[in-house]
Amino acid sequence: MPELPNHLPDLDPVVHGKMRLALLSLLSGVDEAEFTWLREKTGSTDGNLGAHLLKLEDAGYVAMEKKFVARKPVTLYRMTDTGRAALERYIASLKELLGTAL
Amino acid sequence: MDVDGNTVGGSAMNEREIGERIALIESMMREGRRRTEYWGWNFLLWGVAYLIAIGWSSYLPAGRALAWPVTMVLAVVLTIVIARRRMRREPKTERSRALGMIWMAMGWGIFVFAFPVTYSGHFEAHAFMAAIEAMLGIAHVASGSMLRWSTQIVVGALWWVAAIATCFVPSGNDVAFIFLAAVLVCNIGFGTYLMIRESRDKALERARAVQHA
Repeated sequence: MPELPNHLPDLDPVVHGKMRLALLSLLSGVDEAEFTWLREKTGSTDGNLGAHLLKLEDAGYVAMEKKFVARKPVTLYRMTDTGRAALERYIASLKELLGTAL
Repeated sequence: MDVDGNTVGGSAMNEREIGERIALIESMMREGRRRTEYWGWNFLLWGVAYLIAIGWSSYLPAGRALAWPVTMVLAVVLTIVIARRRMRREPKTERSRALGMIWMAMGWGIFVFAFPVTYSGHFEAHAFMAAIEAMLGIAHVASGSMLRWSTQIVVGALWWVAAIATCFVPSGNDVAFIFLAAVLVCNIGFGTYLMIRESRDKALERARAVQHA
């Protein structure tokens, strides 16, 4: 498969991971989501999901909140403005790459 | 190279990899927008509550004055309890909040209107029932318009037809009959249709999950 020319945009390494890309894409459509909902949608394990969410949190792309709902602890995640901008930049980069590849 | 072992320079991605990433984004965005909120049970619950209130106030003289207050308050409590349990894990969105507000505003509006009118001494059955039916129609049409769901818009329109008809019928019995007919179609019928759709959708999801396993 031919390589693309090397003047093309680099991709954000935090967004580029498939699981993290999936998480950001899921969170882009909701205000906030529970850990369990994200796990169900991605089919991931608790540990794997937690690690990727922590990386996104460290990058400032998602925010986490722990609270009690009906006396049960829930962990909620939401995408930050920084995360939304990062995803948009990543998508724009992919489109640019695809346009060059075609 | 990132922690996943992926090279992140754009120059190292081929067309297939780019396509896969785009497909992943699209499918996850679609998945995130897909809602599993089903409210058929709630329409059915309120339809049954109305029927109980009508039956109690018409055929059981004992505590007749309590028929509507008691059944309506019980229906509100059951709605809150069941909705909290069912919606606990679903993500919040602007749309789900807006839809919830439409129905809460309608509920509060009916409550604020109905109790004072009933006990004020100025109660008139035609105007009262027409107002209630019109409010129910507003909530259905607003909700159906937000969801771009013509079935629910039609249900709202049927409540408006009931409201108009109520204004022109001669007797109180006719008013009750129109309300009963609207409840049977717009609550019992619509609620049952939604619950059948829900169980069909869940069966399809299970079949899809088995296929991908």
